[in-house]
Amino acid sequence: MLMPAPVRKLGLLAHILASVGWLGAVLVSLGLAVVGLSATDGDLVRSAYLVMETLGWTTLVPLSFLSLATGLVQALGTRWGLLRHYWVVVKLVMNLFAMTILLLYMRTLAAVSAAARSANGADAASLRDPSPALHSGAALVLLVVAAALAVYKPPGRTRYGQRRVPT
Amino acid sequence: MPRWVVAFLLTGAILAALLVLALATGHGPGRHLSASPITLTLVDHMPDDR
Repeated sequence: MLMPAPVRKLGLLAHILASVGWLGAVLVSLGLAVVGLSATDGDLVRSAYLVMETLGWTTLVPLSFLSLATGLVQALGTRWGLLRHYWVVVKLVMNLFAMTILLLYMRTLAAVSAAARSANGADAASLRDPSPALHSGAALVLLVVAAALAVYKPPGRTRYGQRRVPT
Repeated sequence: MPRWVVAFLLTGAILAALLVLALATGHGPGRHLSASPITLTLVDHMPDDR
């Protein structure tokens, strides 16, 4: 069922805010990961890894769910549909992939954070872990590509979309 | 199927292959399901009972 225009706009606003918020949180996460890799002060490295886990549970995970939920509403409540256009399907797959990796990665972040919490006085080099920077960087690339798909909307209908009445 | 979708599928397939390769060599997502090497590093720093 198609949403009336004011509701559609409100839904689009919510989807943009959630997705851009997720992108911003990933950028912050990447910044913290770079601090973790480059800082020479052990306390600063520990703090970066401690904040990363909190950032994950309070911001990254909720915003990723919100982005998916608002995206589904936008797809199902507008003429685009969920499975009619390739760009929508690709975005959905990318979103689900990113969320799955994020939820799996929260376990690693918990371990990194626990190590940082207990490693009082340890030197920075022994705490460094390239994994958060790698994952944040990959997430950033994925979300930028997803945003580009949403803006450019490259043409192409799926077989299901071709069977539907053209809109 | 549009060319850009094929490009995305190829990229996805290459990433999946890399993921499998990483998993096979012990550097993949299996790490998410077990203790991080940093935890092992921590153990090295913990004072022992001696």
